[in-house]
Amino acid sequence: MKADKFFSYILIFFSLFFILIVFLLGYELYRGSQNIISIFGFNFIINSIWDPVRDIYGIAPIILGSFITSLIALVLAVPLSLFIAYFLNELVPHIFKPYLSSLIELLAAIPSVVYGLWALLVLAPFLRDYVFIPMQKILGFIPFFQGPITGYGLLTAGIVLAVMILPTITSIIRESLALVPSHIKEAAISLGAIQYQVAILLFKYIKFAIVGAIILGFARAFGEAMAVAMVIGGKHEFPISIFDAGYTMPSIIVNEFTEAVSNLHYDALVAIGFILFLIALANIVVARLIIRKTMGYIKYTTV
Amino acid sequence: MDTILSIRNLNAWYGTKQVLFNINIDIPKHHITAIIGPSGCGKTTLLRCINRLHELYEGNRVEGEIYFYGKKFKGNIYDPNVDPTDIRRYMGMVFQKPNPFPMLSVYDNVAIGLKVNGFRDKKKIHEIVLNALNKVYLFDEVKDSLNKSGSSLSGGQQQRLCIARAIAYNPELLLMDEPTSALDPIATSKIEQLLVELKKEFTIIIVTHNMQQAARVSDYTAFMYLGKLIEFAPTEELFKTPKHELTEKYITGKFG
Amino acid sequence: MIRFNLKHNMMGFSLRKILNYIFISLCFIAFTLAMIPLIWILAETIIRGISALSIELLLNTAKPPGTPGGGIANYIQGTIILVAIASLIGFPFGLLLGIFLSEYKEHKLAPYIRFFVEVFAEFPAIVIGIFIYVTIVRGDIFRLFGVEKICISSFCLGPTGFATIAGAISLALLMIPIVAKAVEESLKLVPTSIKEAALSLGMSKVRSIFSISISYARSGILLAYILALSRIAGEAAPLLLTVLGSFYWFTGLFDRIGALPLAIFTYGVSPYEDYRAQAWAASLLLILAILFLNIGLKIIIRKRYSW
Repeated sequence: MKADKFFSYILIFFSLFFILIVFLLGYELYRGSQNIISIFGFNFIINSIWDPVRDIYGIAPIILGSFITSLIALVLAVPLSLFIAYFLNELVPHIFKPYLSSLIELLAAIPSVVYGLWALLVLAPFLRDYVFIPMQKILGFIPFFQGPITGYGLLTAGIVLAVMILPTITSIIRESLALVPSHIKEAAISLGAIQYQVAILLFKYIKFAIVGAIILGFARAFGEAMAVAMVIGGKHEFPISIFDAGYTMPSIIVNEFTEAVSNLHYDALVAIGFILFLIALANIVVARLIIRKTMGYIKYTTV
Repeated sequence: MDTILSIRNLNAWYGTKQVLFNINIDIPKHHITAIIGPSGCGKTTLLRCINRLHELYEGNRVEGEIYFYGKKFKGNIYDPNVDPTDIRRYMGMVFQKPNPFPMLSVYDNVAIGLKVNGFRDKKKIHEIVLNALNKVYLFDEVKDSLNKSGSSLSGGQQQRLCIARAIAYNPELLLMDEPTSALDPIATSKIEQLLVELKKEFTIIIVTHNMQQAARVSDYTAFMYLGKLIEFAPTEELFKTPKHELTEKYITGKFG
Repeated sequence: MIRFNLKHNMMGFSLRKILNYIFISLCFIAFTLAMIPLIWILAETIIRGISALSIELLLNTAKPPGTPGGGIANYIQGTIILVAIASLIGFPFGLLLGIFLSEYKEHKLAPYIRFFVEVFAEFPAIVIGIFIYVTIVRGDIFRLFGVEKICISSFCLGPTGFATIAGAISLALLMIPIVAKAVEESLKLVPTSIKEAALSLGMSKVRSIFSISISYARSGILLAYILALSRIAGEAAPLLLTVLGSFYWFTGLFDRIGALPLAIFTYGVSPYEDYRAQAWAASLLLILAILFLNIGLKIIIRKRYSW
């Protein structure tokens, strides 16, 4: 029919347009980074000096800051997510389940600036006085736990990120836990496995999905801008401890964008955006492929 | 004749629907007891009540007593002071569909039962695993693929792997829920031969919808219909001179 | 679903029983730990937000720090305008993609689109912001064609500078994959029998999609829209790079504009007490809006539009 043909053309047009936008995104960010690439080349990534006044841009400490904060977030969030996912799927009585689950989902609904505001004005001073200072007293002999403590720095950012990525990781783990066929659970139980042993077997069963969830959580933490920008402290040099101030790639864009001093400064921020794009792309594609593969594998073994 | 299991006044429900009515039966030690009956008669539920799997689903309920007379445990397994996870360690279960753990290797599939039950000694575990694989005549077939995934084997091999998994931790009772219904005739006959071997060491209860199979392998047969135990007798007797009219109808194929 | 009887977990004291107690306690503790930040954030926002809230705060525009009578009305207006324009662009676009993914899933493009939608949904918002900054605010897209701007007689398209429209487009881009995925999911739930019944009556595919499938799945589609709304309403990062923020009422599509998330950021990091108080008030409004969208409307929609 005529209308059908016409409509399918519209749909295909918009679909192609969407793909075009995705490619354009990568291409335009690449083009926007041309100046930086031609002036600094690879040094942009490995240099540690960031000096907008002299127009010198190297982001090695900033990349490091991104990795440190994201790793702190994962270390805190992943074990919690595993326990919470098991708790919500297997331990909570049916009647409470939807309510408790939506509480966890609510964590994902809070805007990142609100996280930032809370972390800036409430959490950071609290952590400084009641957590970091006592922590340094105990662990201060380890190099990474030395130095001044302001409350604003990598560890605080990592903690906030952990809270923000927790619902993402939890929900992926819950989805795949729910897909484990009951005959696998029954086999474990019939062997005399007690609850925690069953849990370990189930986690082994969904191990690829867990890896996928971790990568996706890492991608989320790596790309988070506002909340981190508000508590990271803002320091262009290599951090000397996990309490130290630093920068992550998205947070330097946020903090310096409004006060960029030169065109090259803008270009440097765009180039950081381009690197973020590449890293995010790699993370997301790998994570999605892994998760998809596991879901397929679970479905396959169910048949 | 020694009894290993005495089921007394057992009733079971799925939600509000009663599926077992007042089952009373004594299972003899070191013999194979077959439970037959048309589908929906409750034979699988009865089996799942014995190792307390039935009650794990929300809404399911069991009433009555099952006395177990094992070496390590004697008493009512439905006693409120008994932990079902302890009970299950004295029994092995083989499911209708082969269900080896796909995330574990062939070797670990057998070892997992031991590990779950607190075995730590690696050497001893190794010995037991090889022994169990030998007992199910699987070792020669899989000795080169012990590290491959448990789901990489053929259907019949998978089911024998599951039997090895169930016998490795040395239970006294083996519960089998239509273990050959998903297998081809050759794999089926291998498993049937295996069962006859295994009854020297274990007591076996096998649920089957296949009357010929019950006649071939079992020493005693129980016939169930609509959640009730209709007749329980030595297999030959039950098939040759059934006492109950329903049993006769069923084994002569006059219904369902 | 298989569930252990908790009573049975509490029997005996062997090593594995003790490990089991520890495991179960850890599950409870983990959940409780996750609730701490949630309750803490909500409590701080409500307490500090309410104490800063006043009628004039809701009616006045921003004033310099220290000046009494400053308000956040222009930011509320800005957020509403940005979200409204973003919806106008993003919702139909996402809806069309969702229809394509569910109703034309046998089309050879569909798997690619689905993959790109999934990937695009996970892109950091800041990357989208930078993209719009480069292409539209700075206007690199026009230089791609070798011109500064494209003019058709007196009507010109060119670099917008920091502008409302650029911000709205960046929010629309965030919205598209969320809507597309959720619409696909809800259209998938329409029974095939209903679609076939419509086609057997001689309806064209377009009509069956719009008058049967979409109306059947309308509550799911509305929920998809609400989900996307509550996500973009709180976004600050892309706005910062595209509209930059403003202290004044909305003046035009090609001018700068303020927004609640931007106000929370700039006021929050400022050293002024009154600005910080206003940031809490803005957070309270934002959270109330999101809670309303997430909980309130979901219940209403489910009641009124479910079958």
